[in-house]
Amino acid sequence: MDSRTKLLLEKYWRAETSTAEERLLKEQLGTVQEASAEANYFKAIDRRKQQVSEISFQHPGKRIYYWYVTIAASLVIGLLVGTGLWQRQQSSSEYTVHDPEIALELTRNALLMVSSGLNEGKDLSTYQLNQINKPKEIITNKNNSNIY
Amino acid sequence: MKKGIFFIVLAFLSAGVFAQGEVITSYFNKYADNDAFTKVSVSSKMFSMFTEMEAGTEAEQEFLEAVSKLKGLKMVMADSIADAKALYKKATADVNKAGYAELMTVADPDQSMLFSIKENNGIIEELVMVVGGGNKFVLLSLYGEIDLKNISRIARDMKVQGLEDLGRMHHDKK
Repeated sequence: MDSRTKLLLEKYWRAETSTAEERLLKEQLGTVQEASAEANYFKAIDRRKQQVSEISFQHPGKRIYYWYVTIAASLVIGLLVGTGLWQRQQSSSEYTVHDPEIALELTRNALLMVSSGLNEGKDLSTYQLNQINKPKEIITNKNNSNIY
Repeated sequence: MKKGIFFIVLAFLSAGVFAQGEVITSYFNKYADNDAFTKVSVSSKMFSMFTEMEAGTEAEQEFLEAVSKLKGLKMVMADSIADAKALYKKATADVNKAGYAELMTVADPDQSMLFSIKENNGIIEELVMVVGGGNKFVLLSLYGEIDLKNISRIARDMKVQGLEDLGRMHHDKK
């Protein structure tokens, strides 16, 4: 091992070598006959590099990238969403009231309808609650009359 | 793969957007050519115009307050159809299927009512009302930010039976 290789080795262990220097180092130590630890190390690395897998992989075949399918799919999706939105818009706009006065009157009536509906439900439930309480009242009254 | 998931999520999101007023829109389409049904839609732009109005009375104030947060109103109604009860049943089934939460039902021999809502983070975003009985049928959808308390106060303040206005509303449309 010459001094230049030793210098390179030192540099290598400090991780300061460039790729070209490393290649040179590997070449020199890979061919050297002496069985130093460093030489073995680099030979081992070399062997590892040349290792070939025992299992052979077969290429699945020509892979075709269906780019046009992607485009077609996005077009279809876009079209569907577009027509959906358009139809929605269309079906509503057909009946949209444009006169503010009429719109206000309609809204007022609609809200009144909802409002009184909600109240009717409430009143009904209180009414029914009162009905539930009735038997109890009758019973307590009876008991009271029994006592007296 | 990631892309696929993204698109699926996107599709669901857009389905959510479509779901707003989904039932009423389908009824709009269904009865588009049927003159027995009156169809009304008030846009969010119109609602924003209402908010600029001056309230004269307290009742008016209450009404404008309830309206100010609304974004849309859609109605399909009829007052001279033969099978209102059957239509009511069909509509309530459709509303339930669309994932609305039932708020209240009133089953009456003459007239039944269903109130259902769609909620998001405790805020009612859509209120659907279905009324059916006799030969009357109403399907109404309100959306925006809905304050039920506020809305229920309207009728008390005005002391008017809202359902009596149904006939008047029909004529007002044209």
